[in-house]
Amino acid sequence: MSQPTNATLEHLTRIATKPGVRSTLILSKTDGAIIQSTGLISASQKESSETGQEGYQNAENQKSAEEVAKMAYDFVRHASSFAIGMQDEDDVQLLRLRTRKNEIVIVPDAKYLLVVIHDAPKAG
Amino acid sequence: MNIEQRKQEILAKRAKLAELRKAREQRGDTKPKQDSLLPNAPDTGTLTLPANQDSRRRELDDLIERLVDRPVGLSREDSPAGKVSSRPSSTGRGSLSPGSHDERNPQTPPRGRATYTQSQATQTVSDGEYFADIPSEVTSLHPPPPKQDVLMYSVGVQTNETGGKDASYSDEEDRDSSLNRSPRSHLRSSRKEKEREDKLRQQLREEIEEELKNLKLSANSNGDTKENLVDKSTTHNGFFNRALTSEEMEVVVASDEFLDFVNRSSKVIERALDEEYDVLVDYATVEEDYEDDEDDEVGEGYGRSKSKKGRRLKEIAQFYDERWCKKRMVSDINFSPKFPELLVTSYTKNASAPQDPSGLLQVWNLHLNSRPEYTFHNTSDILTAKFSPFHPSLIIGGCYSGQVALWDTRSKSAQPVQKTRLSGASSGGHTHPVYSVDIVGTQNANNIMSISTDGVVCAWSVDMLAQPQEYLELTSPHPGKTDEVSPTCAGFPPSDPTSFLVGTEEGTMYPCHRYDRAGSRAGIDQDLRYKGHTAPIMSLNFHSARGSVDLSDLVLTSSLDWTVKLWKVRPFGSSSRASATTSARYTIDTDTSVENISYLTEFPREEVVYDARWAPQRPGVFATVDGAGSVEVWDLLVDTEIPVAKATPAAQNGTAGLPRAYGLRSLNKVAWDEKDGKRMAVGGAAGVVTAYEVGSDLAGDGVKAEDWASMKKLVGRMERGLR
Repeated sequence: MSQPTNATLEHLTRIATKPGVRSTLILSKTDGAIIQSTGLISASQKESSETGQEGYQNAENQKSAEEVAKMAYDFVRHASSFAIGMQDEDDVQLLRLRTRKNEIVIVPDAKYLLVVIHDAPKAG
Repeated sequence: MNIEQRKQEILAKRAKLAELRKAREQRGDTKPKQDSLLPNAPDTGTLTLPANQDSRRRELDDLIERLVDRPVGLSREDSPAGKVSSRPSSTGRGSLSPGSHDERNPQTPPRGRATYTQSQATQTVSDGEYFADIPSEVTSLHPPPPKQDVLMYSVGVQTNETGGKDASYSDEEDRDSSLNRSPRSHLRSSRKEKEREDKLRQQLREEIEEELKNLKLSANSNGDTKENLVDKSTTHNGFFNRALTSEEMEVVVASDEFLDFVNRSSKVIERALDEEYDVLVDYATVEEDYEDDEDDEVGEGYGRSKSKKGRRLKEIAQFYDERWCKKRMVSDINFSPKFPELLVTSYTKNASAPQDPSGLLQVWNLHLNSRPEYTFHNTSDILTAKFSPFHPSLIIGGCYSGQVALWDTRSKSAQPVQKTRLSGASSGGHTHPVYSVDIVGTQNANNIMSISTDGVVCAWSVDMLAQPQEYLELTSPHPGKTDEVSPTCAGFPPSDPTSFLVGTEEGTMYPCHRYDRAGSRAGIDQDLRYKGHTAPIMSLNFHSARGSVDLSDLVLTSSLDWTVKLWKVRPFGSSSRASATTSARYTIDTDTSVENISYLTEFPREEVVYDARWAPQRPGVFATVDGAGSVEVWDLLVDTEIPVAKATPAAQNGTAGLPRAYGLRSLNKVAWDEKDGKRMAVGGAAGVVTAYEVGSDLAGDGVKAEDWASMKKLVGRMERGLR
């Protein structure tokens, strides 16, 4: 029965297709391996697009999925060492990072990370 | 063939592991022996040189000082040499007779040489000890406690490909053999030396870890197995950027752990994204177009003359799940008494999807619009559902099959955690649809009361649904053609759990008692009935607002006869009919001498009215939903003829494609948020639940004390027929 799997994964697609959501990323917490990503191009695609035609103009200033994954992974790692440093046996549950252009929401869990990058709400 | 290879590999590894284990056991056996031997070994050394021990210790001290001061890399590079020469050096030490050593002491040149051999010896000793200590740690691949980085890293390695592990095993084997080769000579026992040894050990440990890491990395990167594409540039910091193969991906994605994670985390994310308020908003820089545009679209009530804003109905959310709610009708809505943002909705079956469970129950969160917080199923249509007022995670429901079911939001399963037996008659339960369930009583003594359309009333213990605690069959007290009554709805007065009212299909309301009492038997009251509706009663609701005046005898009913009626219920069990007969509202049926009580007032509508509910806080406010698909809010203190606010749920994505036929627009149920009465939810044939926020004049807070008194007065006027 693959039905519950699909239903669960639908949640992800729905998040990914919400207005304003730019990209989503699921990482393994143990080693940062990318399990799923949307809205990001992988490093290999990026390379080919750079050498290839000009259709991918904006790809150059866009980070590849691997780069984003690494940054997010490091961010979570530092955040959790901060949390644990503040108090033992504590851990990070939710990270919301507001930048001028984006908001990055990260849900760290025992084994995985869910990262969602979306446009910042208008005002601000 | 790949699989074959892998299997063989795994077998080989297992064999290796077994070997290792054996080796360790043997070691464990031999170790005590060695230890017992140890005291003898130093004997030869220490006992023969008691005289020059001081000088010797000094010598050792600065020797070790040099060792410690040596750069780490160098000492590591030396260590293999130490291993190889370990035997000779130990024999060499034996040849260092105390006398000769002492003689050599003043003469410097040879001393260096001697100490050098000795230094090698120390090194082997420490090396050997290190290995003796470490293997158990290494095999379990646990990192040393103080290094945080390493912790992250080696956990990563643990889940990694077997190539890495393989390398570490073989590494350990080497070590084991080296251990066997290396002599165990505990020559030194002074504390200082121990400290130094510890230092050395620490250094070595770190080096070896470093080496192990490199080993694993290289094993990974040249690994024969499929996907060990380690990007070396990113391996520091514990970040292992590698691409997963499709098979690996499938395994991960199909694992329960992952699905569980996705379920939880996506909920959190969606709540976060649905949150409308922007904490970073700077009101100084916000442009003008941030105006209040709420009043125009909704709240098209009749009473828009004054204080329109206070009585508006603002649509705040619509809940519809494409997968589950399609072609189902909302059969009930109930807000959680504990968490005012949660509401449970039950649905009838989707006739076009027979493979789906018939019964559907969903818990929605006002802060999570796009998906239900929980989804539950049952094998039969769920006709009514309600949060337990005494336990925030329990939901009770009544089914078309006659079952009463109990769901728990803590349960992983979508099925009810408990339900009554299907074979209702033999087990003493219901055999007909249950349209009404309620939990009555107090925190510590409560029952689930269920009423089915054949007139059977059951009381259940929340803990045990196998058998009803009470069973009561309602029969018409003065039968005409038949003695059957078919209750369509029921209501329990807030103060009295032993009596209740049932509304029936023929339009009459009967007061009922759960227990026998003086002069009357359990069941429908013999002497009294509330007559007024001419069509089935669809809802019956006791006034539950608590205020300075008790209004709990006011009952609101809605019916298919296009009216909503307000009743004043006689106290249960009182048979004082004489006092009341003066009014025109009371008539006595001459044949049966049953007293008929009429309604206080009625509110004629242009549609069948499916539901009418009192607001939980305001004395005169109630809401109705009708077959035309509009929701109306009334405030009797403002107007008893027309509603103060009216709204129609907006067409929603899911329903936009459906024909706006008459039936599809109809609304079945309305519910108030019981905590503060600020929100309302309506739902109907389209399967969409729409939540409204009501204006401050209708909401729970800010009720004036005199409102209660004026409501009482109003009821009094109605009672006297003045209206």
